[in-house]
Amino acid sequence: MMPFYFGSSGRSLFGIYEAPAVGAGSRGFVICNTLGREYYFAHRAGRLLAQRLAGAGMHALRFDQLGTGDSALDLDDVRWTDWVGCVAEAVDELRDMAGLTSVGLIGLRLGAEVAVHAAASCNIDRLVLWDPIPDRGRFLSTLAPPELARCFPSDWVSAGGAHGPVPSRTLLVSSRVEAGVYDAMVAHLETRCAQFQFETTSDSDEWRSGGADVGRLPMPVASIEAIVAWCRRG
Amino acid sequence: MREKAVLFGPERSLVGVWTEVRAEARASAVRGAVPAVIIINSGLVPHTGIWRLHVRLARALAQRGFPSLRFDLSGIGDSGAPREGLPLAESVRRDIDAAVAYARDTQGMERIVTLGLCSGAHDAIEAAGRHDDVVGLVAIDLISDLTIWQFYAVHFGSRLLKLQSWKNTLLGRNGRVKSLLGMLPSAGSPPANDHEVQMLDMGVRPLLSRGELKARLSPLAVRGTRLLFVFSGGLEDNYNHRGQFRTAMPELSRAPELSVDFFPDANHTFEDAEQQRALVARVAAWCSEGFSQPQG
Repeated sequence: MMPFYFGSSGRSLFGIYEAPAVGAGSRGFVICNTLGREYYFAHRAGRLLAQRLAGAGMHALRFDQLGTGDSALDLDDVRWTDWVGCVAEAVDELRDMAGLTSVGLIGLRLGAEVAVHAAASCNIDRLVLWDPIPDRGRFLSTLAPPELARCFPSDWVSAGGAHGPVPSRTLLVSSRVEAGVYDAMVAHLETRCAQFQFETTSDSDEWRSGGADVGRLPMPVASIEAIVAWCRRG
Repeated sequence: MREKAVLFGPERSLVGVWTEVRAEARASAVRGAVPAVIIINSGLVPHTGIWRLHVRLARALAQRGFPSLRFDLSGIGDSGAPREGLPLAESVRRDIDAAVAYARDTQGMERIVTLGLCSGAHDAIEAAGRHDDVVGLVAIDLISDLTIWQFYAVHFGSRLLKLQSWKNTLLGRNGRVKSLLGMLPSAGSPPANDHEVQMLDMGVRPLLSRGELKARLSPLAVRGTRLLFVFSGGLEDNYNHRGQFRTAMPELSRAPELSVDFFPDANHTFEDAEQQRALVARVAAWCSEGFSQPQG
């Protein structure tokens, strides 16, 4: 595990790189974390995902978006387009530091929204959307501070509706139990991705929304295992 | 200001961010004129602090010439798992001692301030007691037994006027202080092992009685450690008026190095941006007031 800062002065990004535990690794993934209240709960799950990817012989880089976490600036200073650019920087950083030609993106919740838009401008070969947000308006009004909501334009297109290029190898993983939540998103992605896959898992959503027990936070092990298994497939 | 990602601790498993000060301030810092601030996790919240409180504190402190280390205890945020079988209190003690050692041995800092919110306040007090080089303590929303008759006078006086509080009482909703995002750590439970992690579990710190708190703070006051206690309105079932701390701790009330602040309009996590800005400014000003002058 290697924590470090990258990017340009005044706009530096905090990242943590995990090297493959076995072999040199020819594949790598940039993990785009969620934002707002969920950032605090889901942080450890993102770490576990990166470690499991590394354990399976892949490179992983997770990072904080501008204005969030340990990265530079404040939310008042950034817009969602900055975050799309940050993903591109992180992809380049991982390519350079690991000597990779093949890099994929894993977006978690609001990070999935940003990853879809970044996929249109980055040369990535795989995309994982982990519990993307079906109702962005509700998310921003209930789970995010007002500064975060202001970063998004009113005509923001959600992950399922984006019309830019999306890798043919795309995975949507959902630990939501409500039937039909992702029907429209799945239908949309099926028409655009030749090798689209949709998996549901049995994890409760407490790992990103807070556990019922004080001081305890369940880890979404089933979702992480599904993602890692898909990522390592040829 | 420059921020540096660091790995430290005996097994280099602890992750943190060391915030350096401006070049001109650095010289006085390493001479021991100013302390480094060690910022400790709140519950299971990563080292950025809830709503980036720790990040903003670190940057504001650096503006005033104070370097800092915000970091994750074992099992939290980016740091590695705690050693299997190690009791939580011992794991926390070792981690904070490693942070103090990093500031002292790697960065050349001779004086330390420990700072924390909620469980972090508890840990900051314990660390201050262990290290003579801790010259300042900032405890934000420490949850301890500070209830006195004046507390109940304010508590019930205000509730008599609120219909909702009667409803809550009847419905059994008036519990003790709500823990930080439901994540306040506690003492008894063993930490999780990352290799088999199904559940991140860091338990809950013990509630300090007034006597226990006095036993910890009195030696600090005697040795001249500066103390800043901050309470929010979010602890309404525990703390509800500005003078409560001094009244509950009469032995410390006249200590020249004691400052107490009350933010009645803030919640426990200082979620409101204005309240958080005020808190950050208060802590930075408190450091400047007491530590900026070079010693002898």
